[in-house]
Amino acid sequence: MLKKIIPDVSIGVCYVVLSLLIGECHPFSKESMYDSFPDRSYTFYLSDTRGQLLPLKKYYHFTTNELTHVYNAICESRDLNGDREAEQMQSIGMTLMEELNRRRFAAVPTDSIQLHQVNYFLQNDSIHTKDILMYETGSR
Amino acid sequence: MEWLYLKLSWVLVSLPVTCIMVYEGSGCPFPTGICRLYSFAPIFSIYGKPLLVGTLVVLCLLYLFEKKMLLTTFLLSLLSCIIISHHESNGIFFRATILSLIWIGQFLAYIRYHFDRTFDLLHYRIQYSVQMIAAVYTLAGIAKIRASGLGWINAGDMFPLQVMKNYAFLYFDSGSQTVWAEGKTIAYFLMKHHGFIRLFLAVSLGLELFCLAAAIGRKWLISFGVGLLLMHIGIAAIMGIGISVIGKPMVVFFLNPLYRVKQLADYFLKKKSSFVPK
Repeated sequence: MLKKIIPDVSIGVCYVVLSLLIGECHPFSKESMYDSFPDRSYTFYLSDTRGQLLPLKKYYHFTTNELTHVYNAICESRDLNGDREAEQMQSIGMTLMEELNRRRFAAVPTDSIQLHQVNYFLQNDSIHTKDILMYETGSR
Repeated sequence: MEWLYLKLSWVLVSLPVTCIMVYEGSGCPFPTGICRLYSFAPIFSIYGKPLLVGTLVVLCLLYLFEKKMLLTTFLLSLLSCIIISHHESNGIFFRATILSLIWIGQFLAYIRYHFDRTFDLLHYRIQYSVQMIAAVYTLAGIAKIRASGLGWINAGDMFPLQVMKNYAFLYFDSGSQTVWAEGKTIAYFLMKHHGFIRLFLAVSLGLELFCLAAAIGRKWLISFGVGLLLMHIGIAAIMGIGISVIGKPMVVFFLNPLYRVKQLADYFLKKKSSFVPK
């Protein structure tokens, strides 16, 4: 029985062991997506100075999900853990806007674009939000 | 015949995603994987990208027509590793590891056959791919246990925040108030029905952790295939995201739907031709 099973799982088991040893280095991965549910989550959005939402896909070849990935990559590359200070957030915001501008395909109908981080958290059985203005720039 | 339908489905699933990854991203601002050693800038230049896509298409055709399989699967594995590493080096994660792994799995089967002609290539070129897919799910399960323990299921009380975030992605991308309202409705529904989330998460964790069992027999393969497909549909419906990159190859290699449709069509055609009117 075992003799029959071993060849049917050997490659898979080897890959699991190697991935656990090597970690995140493609083609190895720990597949740690959604391995925990933190008590807050966050995302980003763009608005004009009046707070009017600027839907990302209307102007950029970029999604909000990808923007969140890039934010995490920037924080990791700068060894930023825990809460970020306002200056750090502004610096990250500037880098994010540079990334966005590299993939812009349509003019944004405002002179100044605001990049916000919005945090979601639970309080008294209700979902609350906290909005942080990260960066403001001229865009045309 | 099953192999041909499987190859066709696999190429239809993997080629578009790989081509999208070729064109997304510029440079390697956050180098990872093989791009830590070399950025492959010429390959991903304005002239290199169409050439790369052309090469991928030619290799996929060679693969479909079963030409030089050892070399073809090796090149497809190598290019896939380079493309995904480059894509991830832009800070964007498609969670597309599985695409390279399936090519690598098939290459391993062909290389074993190259050195040992008694090796059951017809079985293992599919079976190795199945093992790779199952291994990725198992790793996802292990990651959850390592990070949160079995308490991962209970930590799902925070799950509505993830739902909210995912619908916020869609809202901030499109500006659609309808999507945003839908997300809030689902998030608040889940907040009031913790038992539902715990059950969903417990079943998902079980399917992921023990997924390697799918590689030991056909019945297990089909059972896990159906279970994981339902899990992906559930995630897509609740979280407002599409079927993840791993979901599609899983369906192809665990269930081979194109071949099942062909079998069904053959069955009905046979039945029709054997019908003799009185």
